[in-house]
Amino acid sequence: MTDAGAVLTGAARAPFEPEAVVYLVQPARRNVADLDQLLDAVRTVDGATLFLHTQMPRLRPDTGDDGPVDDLSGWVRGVVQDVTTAERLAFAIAAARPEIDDVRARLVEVLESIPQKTRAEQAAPEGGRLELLRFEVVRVPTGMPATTADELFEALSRCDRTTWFHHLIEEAWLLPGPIPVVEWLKAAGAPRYAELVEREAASGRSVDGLRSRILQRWRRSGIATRLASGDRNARDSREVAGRLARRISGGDRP
Amino acid sequence: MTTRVAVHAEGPSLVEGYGAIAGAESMRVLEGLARRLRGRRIVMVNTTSTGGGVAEILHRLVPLLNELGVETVWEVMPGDPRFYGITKSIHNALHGAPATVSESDWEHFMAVSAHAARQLELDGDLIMIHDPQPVALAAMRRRPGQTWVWRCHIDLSVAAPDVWHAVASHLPRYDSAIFSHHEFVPELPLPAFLVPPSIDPLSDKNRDLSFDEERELLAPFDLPARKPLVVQVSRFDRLKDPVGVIDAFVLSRKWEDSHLVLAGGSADDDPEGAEVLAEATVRAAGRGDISILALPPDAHRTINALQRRAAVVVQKSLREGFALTVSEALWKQRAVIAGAVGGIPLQVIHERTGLLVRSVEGCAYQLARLLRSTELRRRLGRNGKEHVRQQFLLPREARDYMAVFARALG
Repeated sequence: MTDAGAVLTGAARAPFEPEAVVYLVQPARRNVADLDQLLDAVRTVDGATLFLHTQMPRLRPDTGDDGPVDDLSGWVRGVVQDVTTAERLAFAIAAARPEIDDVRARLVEVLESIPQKTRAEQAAPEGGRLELLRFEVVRVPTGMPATTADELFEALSRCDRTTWFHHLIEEAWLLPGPIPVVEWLKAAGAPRYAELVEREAASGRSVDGLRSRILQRWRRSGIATRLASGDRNARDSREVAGRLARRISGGDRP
Repeated sequence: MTTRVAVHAEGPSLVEGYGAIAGAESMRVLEGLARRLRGRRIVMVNTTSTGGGVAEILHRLVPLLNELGVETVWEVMPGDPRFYGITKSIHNALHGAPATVSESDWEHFMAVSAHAARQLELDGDLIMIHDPQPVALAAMRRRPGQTWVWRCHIDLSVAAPDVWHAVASHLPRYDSAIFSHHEFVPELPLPAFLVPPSIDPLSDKNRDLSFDEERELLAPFDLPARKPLVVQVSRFDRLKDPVGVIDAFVLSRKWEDSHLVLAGGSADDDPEGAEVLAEATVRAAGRGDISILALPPDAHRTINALQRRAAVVVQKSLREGFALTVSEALWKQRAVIAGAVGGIPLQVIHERTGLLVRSVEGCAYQLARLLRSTELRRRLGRNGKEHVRQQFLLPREARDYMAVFARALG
């Protein structure tokens, strides 16, 4: 059985309305000037701040074949200009499970492996400090409630990248328990889509990247479903298209 | 006397115009926010309807919000010449420039504010006060049920403490404040949000130019037609390091042929600017491969043409506010080399959307590297334009304001 067109099974389940969000950014009142201060900050800042600097860059557009760069390794590479540490931090962030504690532990491990004296010497130029930030979320209803998996993906295909980021990444990282959109897809009888969404959310890909992969899979599967189904409209359309093609090629002359 | 500014509602749809550039999905978020704000009335207040960045933004923002269905009006606070002289001193002092504001100046400031408070309608659910000039109005006119937001467009990072404290004494009457960059945010007793500035892709400084228009605009400067141009557009200010740009350019010329253009304001009203311009002129003396252009403040189309004609745009600042000239250049798909300071690293992601440098030698090296590789210039330019499309165009600034309004109004 295919997931496309699956309908809600639980009577108690409400339709799922995707939300766009605006992240209102605020200063966290803390900045770092060198790798030693970065280590101290990574150990102590709140989860939302760490999330903002490690995951929120996934909202940025891909650049050619490259995904967006997280803020921490981007600052170390571009401003401090310590390429080795930047690479290791980028890897630590990409490899982390979607949990704040895990990403924090991996970053601490990388920075602790550098001698303290070197950490203090690897510094930004004057005016190049990394200012840490936090955020509040303002939700924006899209007005496109979905009752089937197909309707959900149809709605998501028309939503901006903040909607995707909010439902697939932010809720995976910051809400306890399973991802709500994944749970909803399961309840809607679309377990394979649920699995796809869960896998992509944990992939570390940019929002652009995972959006295009998920929509591609959904569209392909939709075409297969429509072709395989005995849907009368589709059959009629195919017949009309066939007649037209024969007429154009001259094979349908009386 | 009316204090309300009539903004042009006719003409082509801004929602469609920006939608064609920023994307339909982005405009849908604005429409969603507008649905949340429907039935509420927003009042924007500043002190001038012409000239300056704030007026420029409001001339676009107010009609855009109205077209989206959010009733928005714009009122200009009336003043007298002495008041404007005082607010200019306040502005300079907040920017860290030497300026004195006497006790009697503050008394006059408050008297004019009280007079304006009686004249302005301020009949909205949310009042957004732009910059320090109208800041005292909240204490005089705030009504129960209203929300007041202070939007500070100024870099307060080196503000004169006494003047800042006088301005800040009015802020407890506000619900929240908005700043352009984290470095500009002082300690405050209210929530402070960061809304980076933006460029308007439909304005003269950023809209597409035809080839003929570009050629016509640059004709007076007699620039070499066949050499790649390296351009820095900036005030003649030591912190923009024009002399460092000349030194980096001269070093790069050992490897690659090009022509440097330093374009900036004429610095008539800025003694230090005139000094820096003179220093740059001395450093460039006798070189036929450097042009120093003193442009009038309204030379938007000329700057547009210079940026479009450049092979590389440089912004080698030693200290910066936000440096929107970087976004302007990126929007035109130019390869950018810039100092890693202030708001620049938000715009230039090293090796992705441009190149960050920290020294004259670094600038020279990257300049030669870019001049050698058309492909690298194209790649950075393409990525830079997309980055600006997502982050630094006016619809994003409008979206952020609407989100602040929605948060405040519930």
